[in-house]
Amino acid sequence: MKYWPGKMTNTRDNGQLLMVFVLNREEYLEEILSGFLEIGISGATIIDSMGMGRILAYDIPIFAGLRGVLAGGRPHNKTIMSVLPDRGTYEKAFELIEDVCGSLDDPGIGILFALPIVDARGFLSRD
Amino acid sequence: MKLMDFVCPSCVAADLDVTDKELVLGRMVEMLAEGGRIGDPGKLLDSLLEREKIMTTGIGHGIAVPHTVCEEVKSQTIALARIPAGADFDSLDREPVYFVFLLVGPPAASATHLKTLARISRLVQHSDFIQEIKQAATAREIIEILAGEDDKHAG
Repeated sequence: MKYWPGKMTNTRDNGQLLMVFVLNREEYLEEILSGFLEIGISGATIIDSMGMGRILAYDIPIFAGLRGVLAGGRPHNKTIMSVLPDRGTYEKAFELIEDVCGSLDDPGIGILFALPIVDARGFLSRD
Repeated sequence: MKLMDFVCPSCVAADLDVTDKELVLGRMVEMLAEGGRIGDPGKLLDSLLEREKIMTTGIGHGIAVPHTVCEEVKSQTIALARIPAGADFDSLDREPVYFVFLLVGPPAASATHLKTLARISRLVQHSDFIQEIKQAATAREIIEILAGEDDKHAG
């Protein structure tokens, strides 16, 4: 298995992106990660996370009134980060996510965004 | 954000002489009604009490920040009251409340309401400010102290 992007260094213009996906519907995680493998995304970091609203409403007494707003919401989510080689891979990831979870325009699914990468180190190529 | 943009000048009391939570809220709602800032005071008071049921807004150090969004409120408004004898707000630290920031707004301005609540929340983290405002002897002094804090954070 070859891990992208292989060895070393990257410049601003080579199109690498950091994809960040905050997945509220944690039950979709396995299918999403399997799908990522299918489209060639073979490395990612998954973090257990929590929304700001949840912390405000439950940990800071003055904002306890927000609990009504969050009623029915999920207490935790997963944040998935992956370095992608190019915009095309990111678009494939986006299509996969919506295929699995439904439209991200619908509330409660999650949020997805990408950042340009200036430099990336520590990635390995394996046969 | 300037809190003074929302303070109702006629809704500042330096010597509120009630010590029961519901009576304190009722008196402050009356001030807002007399200031022309709200419609039905009974409905606003109910809304404030509903919020208190979720969790007390007596956040400790002698401060309470009762708040709600309600259809009876014409625009985002703050009323202020100093309670020299201390009121029982069932505060988190079980201590009496000596100063109340009452924040109300219409549902359509919920985002502004939340930002204002956050501003007040940060302000009352500062012990110097708390001491100063609890000792303010007149409504004018209260307003000057708050305006001073606004000026410090201008921009």
